[in-house]
Amino acid sequence: MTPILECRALAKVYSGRRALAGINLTVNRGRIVGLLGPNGSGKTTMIKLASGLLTPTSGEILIDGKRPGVQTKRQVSYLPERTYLENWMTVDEMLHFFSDFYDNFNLPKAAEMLQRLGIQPGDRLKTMSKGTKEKVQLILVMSREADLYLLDEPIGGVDPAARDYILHTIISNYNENATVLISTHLISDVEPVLDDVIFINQGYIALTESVDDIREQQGKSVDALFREVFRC
Amino acid sequence: MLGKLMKYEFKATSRIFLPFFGALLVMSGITRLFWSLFQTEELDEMITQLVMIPKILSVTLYIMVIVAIFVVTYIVMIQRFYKNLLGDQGYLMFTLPVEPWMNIVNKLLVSLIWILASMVVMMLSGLILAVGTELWNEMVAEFPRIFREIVDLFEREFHMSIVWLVVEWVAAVIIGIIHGILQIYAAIAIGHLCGRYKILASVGAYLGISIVVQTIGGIFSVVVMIPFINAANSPQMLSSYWNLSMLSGIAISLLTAAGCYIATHIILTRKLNLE
Repeated sequence: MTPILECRALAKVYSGRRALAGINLTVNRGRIVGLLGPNGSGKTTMIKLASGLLTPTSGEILIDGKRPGVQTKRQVSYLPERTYLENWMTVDEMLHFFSDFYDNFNLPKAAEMLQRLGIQPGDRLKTMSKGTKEKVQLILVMSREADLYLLDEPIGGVDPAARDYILHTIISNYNENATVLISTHLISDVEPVLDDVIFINQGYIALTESVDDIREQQGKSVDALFREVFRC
Repeated sequence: MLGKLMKYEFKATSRIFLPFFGALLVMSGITRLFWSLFQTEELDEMITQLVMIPKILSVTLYIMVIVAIFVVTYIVMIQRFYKNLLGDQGYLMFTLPVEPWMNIVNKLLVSLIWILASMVVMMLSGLILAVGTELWNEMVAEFPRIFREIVDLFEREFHMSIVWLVVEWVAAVIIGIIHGILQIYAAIAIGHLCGRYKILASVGAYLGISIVVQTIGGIFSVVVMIPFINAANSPQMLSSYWNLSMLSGIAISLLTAAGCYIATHIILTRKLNLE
């Protein structure tokens, strides 16, 4: 079976600065993968390349064997690290926007999740706090029945209680053939939900390993290993 | 998918345009009312001066609304392209499963329709101001005669059909608008390539394209004119000169529009770098 995500000698250079240095990487289906690395290590660059918002400088990135395009955008559900919602829209309008454009958007599920958070369909995004907007965006993204979820810093800016809610939402809303790629530097928070980890540092892949192997063979938690690998 | 994109684009833009259109129509009604209520003939000088105040005020406001519509049209056109595609919202628009050309054509068509709509609304407001006034009644009475004279002038003297002239003009206006919009898009897209000085680079790109197009257009119009140096003597020559320069103008506009479209498309597909 073709891997859901594959990078071949993938490199990205921004006006002289190298963000990704020709990485090779394969991510399989049905895994929850942590893309872990310090700030500026290339996590966001990789996710943006996979979602088609950036074009590679050299090498290629393949989603289910295809270069990013209309077909891969159907399969990929992407949560950027910023809010991309139009402020004047209501939650309900946003739901219909998603269900209009994505065949795999599960509208009743999204509506139910929003209701549980006490977010009214008629609420305008303008009136919401940043944290609430992030939750709305996460619910929109996780309510798609996608093959690959790319979540860029989903727990970066929220309090620990909200973190639990978000992680719970993520693990309870993807199907078992789908892969979830979570980029973060808050390792101890995501560690319990991860199957695999990718350590990325200064544009290079430092390590790819399953969490079980790290625990069994090295007798360490991912957090401890991360601190070791990225010791300053 | 293009239809869906346009549906949302209209939703996003109508909340800005419709209030302005409404304001213009209301202002034309008010202006008309003030000017027809305070007929000055039977009033004394003092009151004449006093009633001038609401009259002038309403005309000033009316003109301000018209200016505002022009300004808003430009701002919305630029903002919807820049913010919605190349700003944060681009993260959503470019991860939708739609072909990149649809994003450009969507913005283009919706902008074009709003510009045409504002023309229609301005005509309507003109009608509100004019219908029923003496001047209007005279014009209506005279119009069939004047129209026939114009048609005669063109058809008999210059051997040009009025229908063809109208078609040429409508084509020139619509293609001109499309060219204008696409040139702005291309300038923004080119500016977006330029790292830190995006806005400056966009303005530069816009001026650059304008200079190139106008130079080529200028040279072309001179070249077109050469065979017709003595055209003034012959109406037939004059009409073919007219046709040729109109058509070459349209062709240049069309080519520029196509060039700008292709440049925008290439940048948004192969060079897309959202930060």
